[in-house]
Order: sequence, then C-alpha cells, then structure tokens
Amino acid sequence: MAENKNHGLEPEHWVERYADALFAFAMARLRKQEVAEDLVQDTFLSAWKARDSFQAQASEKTWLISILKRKIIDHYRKKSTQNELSVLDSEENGPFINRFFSEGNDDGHWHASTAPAEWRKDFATSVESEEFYKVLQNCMDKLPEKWAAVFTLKNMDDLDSEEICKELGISPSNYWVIMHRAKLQLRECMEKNWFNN
Amino acid sequence: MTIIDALKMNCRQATMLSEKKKEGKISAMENFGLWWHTVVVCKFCRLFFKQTELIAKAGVKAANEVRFELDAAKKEELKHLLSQEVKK
Repeated sequence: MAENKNHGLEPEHWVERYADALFAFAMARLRKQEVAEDLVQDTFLSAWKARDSFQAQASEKTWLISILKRKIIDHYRKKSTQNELSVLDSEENGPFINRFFSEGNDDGHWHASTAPAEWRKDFATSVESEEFYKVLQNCMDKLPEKWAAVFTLKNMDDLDSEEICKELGISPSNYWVIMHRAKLQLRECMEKNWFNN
Repeated sequence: MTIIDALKMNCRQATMLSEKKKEGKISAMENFGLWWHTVVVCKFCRLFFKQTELIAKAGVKAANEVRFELDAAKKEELKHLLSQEVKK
C-alpha cells in the first residue's frame, strides 16, 4: 500500500499545505528571501529522504518545521564561522563600546549623544504595521550575522544562552558580549529610524 | 562583587547585566546593584531596559504577523522536484 511505503506522509500535498508556513518561519528568522527559499526546498527534500524517521503520531507540519529549524541553525553556524569575530575587543573598552559609554574619570556612563531618549512614537499602535517590520529588518541586517543569529535564536525561538552557545559554537562570555552589543546597536538604530524618526 | 561595587555600578556594566538577569545568571549582589542603578540612579538605563524589551517583543510579534508567501513559480518548481524524488 502506498500509505505504508510513505509512512503516512503525503509529499504530493506538502507544497500546497506547508510551503507558505515553512517559508514564513524561515523569513522571520533569516530575512532573506533567497536563503529562505533554498532552506524550504532543502527541508522538503531532506524530509523525504528521512521519511523513515517520521513518527505517524506526529503531525507532518511539526515534523517539517523541526527539520527546517535544524537547517536554519546550520545556516547560522556556517555564516558565523565564515564571518568569524575572532577578536571581540574587550567589553571594557574598544571603539564599539566607547561610542556608547565614556572612558576615564566618568567611566562607563552613557554619552549624551548616544544615551537612550524618550520615544515620541506611541508603541502600541506603531508596531502593528508592516512598515515597522521593514525598519526592524533593516536594522537587523546592519548587525553582524552572528549577532543577528544570537538575537534571533534568543527572542524568536526562546533558546537559553547555553543552547545558543552550543549551537553556534561560541563561548558564554562571547555570548553576553554579543547580546549586549546587539541590543545597544539595535536600540539605537530603531530609535533613529522608527521611534524618533 | 562587594556592596561598594554594587552601589558604584556604571551604565556599561548595568546594560551588560540586564540580559544575564533575564536568565537568572547574576549574583544577589549584582542584582542589588542593578536594581539600585536602574531604579534609583539612572533614567537612561531604565529607558534602555524598557526599550530593548519592547523591541524584542514587538519584533517577534511583527515577524509572526507579517504575511509571507512563497513565490508561485518557486512552488511549482518545488512540486516538480518533490515528485521526481518520490518517484525514485
């Protein structure tokens, strides 16, 4: 019986049933259409190859998403090693941190020019729009790939720091430094380009 | 961290600790210093915490709400590819 051979899977319906959901899942995490499309394709093909591992009591969709998740993390990891931040300047000083915080006598306090400002835009209504998302994506795109990956895994997938370190092959101390910097840069970018634009 | 260090915590340290706090990875003294710094001392750090949380939450919300649809031609291509694989 065909159903036995396919382990209860219906690959002929996968595209119409799940392609948009998988694509949306990938876009929300990778922001690049071409990459998201490639990973969706990869997911379908690998899923079919791995059909023996499908458990009939699971849903096809959940199973496909779990394969896609894996592929997204592999993609992040490849990107991170290609674009290694070999030497993060120490958290205490260096050009990135010194753009936000003072050195010397008044050590470690916000510069007036880069300190957070009150936002003019009302938050609750302003985030409904697609426009907000576009601006956020642009700001995310300005982060180094690894920072964006850390930020996304933390917030979209709610992984804890240890899992993220393991998945991306980074040390815990690098993780906190990356997260600190990602938040500093992203907040500044969103303030300039959205909230107080 | 001593109580003096906690009371002298600066913005760079406080903003760094905020993420650690979310995962419960800070000591009681660091927690006290962070509280002192943000609630009593520094309105900028207060804003920083509030705003970065909002961005993270709104980002997730927006990413889940924005509609993405895979291009129709790409779908056809995928259907074709899959059916080839299934036939093998």
